Amino acid sequence: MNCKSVQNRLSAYLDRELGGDELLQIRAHLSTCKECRAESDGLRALKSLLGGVPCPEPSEDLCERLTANMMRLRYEEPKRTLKVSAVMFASVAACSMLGTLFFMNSGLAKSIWHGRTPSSGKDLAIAQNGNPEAITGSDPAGPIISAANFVPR
Amino acid sequence: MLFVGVKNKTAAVDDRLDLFESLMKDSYKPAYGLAYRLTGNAAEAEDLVQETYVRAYRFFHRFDESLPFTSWLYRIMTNAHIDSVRRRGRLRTTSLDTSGNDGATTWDIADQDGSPDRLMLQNSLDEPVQKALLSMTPEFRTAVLLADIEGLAYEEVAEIMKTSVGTVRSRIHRGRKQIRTHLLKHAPQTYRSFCDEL
Ligand SMILES: [Zn+2]
Repeated sequence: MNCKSVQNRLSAYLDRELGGDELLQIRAHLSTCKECRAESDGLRALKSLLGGVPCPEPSEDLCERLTANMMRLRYEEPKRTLKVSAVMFASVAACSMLGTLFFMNSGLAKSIWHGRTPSSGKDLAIAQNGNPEAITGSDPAGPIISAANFVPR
Repeated sequence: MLFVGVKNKTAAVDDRLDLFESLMKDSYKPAYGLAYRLTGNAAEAEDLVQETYVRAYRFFHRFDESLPFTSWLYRIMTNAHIDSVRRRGRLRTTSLDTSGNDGATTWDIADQDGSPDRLMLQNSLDEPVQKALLSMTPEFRTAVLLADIEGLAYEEVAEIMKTSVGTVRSRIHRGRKQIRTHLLKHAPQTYRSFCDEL
C-alpha cells in the first residue's frame, strides 16, 4: 500500500473499522513511514478533540414543551377522529350484519363512506399498516409536517 | 361488543402513546445535544428537536420496537436537518456569534481525564469546531457528528443516513480533514497546543 492509500484509510483505521489484510498493511506501513505516522497522530488528536466536545444542555422547559406538543397531538387531533371511527366501525359492522349488500351500494352508505375517504397519505399509510384505529387525525391546520413530504430514507 | 373492541384498541393506542412519551423523555437530552451540534445554536436546535418528535410521533406506527429508538429518531432528525438546510439553500451562520452566551444554553462540562490545560484548550476550541462543522455540507456534518460525538459505528451511521458504509467512511474522513483545515486556519495556536498536550 502506498502513502496515499494508507492516508485515505486512516480515519477508518483509527475508528477500528478496518480488519484483515487492510489493517495489517496499514499497521506495517505506519511502523516504517514517518509521514503517514504524523498524519495518523494528527487525525487521532482531532478525533479526540471531537469526541470530547461538551454536550450542550437544553433549556429547562424543553421537556415540558415537548410533552405539551404530544398532548396536543394526542388528545386534540385523534379524539375527534376516534369518535368518528367508532361510529363508522359500528355502522359498517351493522351493515354487514344485516347482510344487505344492497344497502352497501345505496347512496346512504356511499355518503357515509365518502365522509371517511382518506384524504391524506397518512390515512393510507396507517390503513396499510393494518392499524386504522391509530391516529387518523389529519387536520390541515394542525400538522406541521404532512405525510406527503416525509419520505423515510 | 363492538364498542368493547374499539375500547380495547383505543387502550392499545394509549399504551403505544405512553411508550412514545417515555421514549421521548429518555432521549430528548442527547437528541438536543445532536441538534445543537447540527444547527449551531439553541433556538434552531430546539426547533429541530420539536419537529423531530412531531415527525416521530406521527410515524410511530412504523417504528420497530426491536430496534433502538435513538437510531430511528436520529434518522428522522438528520433527514429533517438536511431538508431544512436544503430549503434554506444556505446556512445562517450569523446566529452562531451569539452561541454560548444566549442564556438558553448551559455547557455541561463533564469530568474528564486529562490535564486542566487540555480541558481548557478543548473548551476554547469548541466554538471554532462548531464553526467548522457549520461550514460543511449537512451530509458530512451528520456523518462526523454521529461517529465522533455520538460514538456510533460506521454501519450504524450508514443505517441512519441510509447510505453505504463506504460513503460514510469517505464522508467522515473528508469531514475530519475539513475540520482540521478550518482549525489550522482559524485557531492555529490553540489547536497546535491541544495536539501537543496529547
Ligand atoms: Zn507513508
